[in-house]
Amino acid sequence: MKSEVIGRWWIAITTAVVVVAFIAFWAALGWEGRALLASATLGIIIATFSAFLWVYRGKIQDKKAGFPFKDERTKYIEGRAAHYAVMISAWFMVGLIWYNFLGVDFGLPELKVIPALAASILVMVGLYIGLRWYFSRKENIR
Amino acid sequence: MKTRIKELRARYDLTQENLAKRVGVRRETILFLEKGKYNPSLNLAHKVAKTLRTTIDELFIFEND
Repeated sequence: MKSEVIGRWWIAITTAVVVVAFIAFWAALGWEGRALLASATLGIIIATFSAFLWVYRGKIQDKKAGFPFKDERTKYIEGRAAHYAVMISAWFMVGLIWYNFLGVDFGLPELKVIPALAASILVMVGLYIGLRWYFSRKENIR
Repeated sequence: MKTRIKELRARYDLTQENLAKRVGVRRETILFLEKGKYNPSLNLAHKVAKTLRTTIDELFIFEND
């Protein structure tokens, strides 16, 4: 089967699993705002795991065809993406701390630990994946 | 930076995939190298030059030279 056909099936099945998991989890926790956030997080985790499996599958195929998992260019790209992801996430976390310091004075709701932690992890992982993709398409990265 | 990778690859009847396998890199790296859009390490430049039976300074042409 062609890779594009597998890709379409992969996306369709993942979307279906994410939607079913989202609705089932939301129904199990109750139809409230917090349950919505937890269900959305579960959906994101499933989608991210599926994307990881898809990328890993491609790499296994490349390895079987005789190409290395990583070469000097990919290592450089990953290192650079990780560097920016960590730096930006650190500033994001500083922003969250300041939000809690100053937000109370302006009457904003206080940020709880779990949403702050979940947001920080999602920002870091999302940035890393996005930047890696961006640098891999960018032409001269040195 | 320009390169003669494509020309020499054609001379030795090598595809980008074949060259990538021989020098131990991924296909995209050869693609970007060939377009002159990636500056390789000295080690990789040496491997590519050796595979294409030439020297580094014959393979890579710097526009300000």
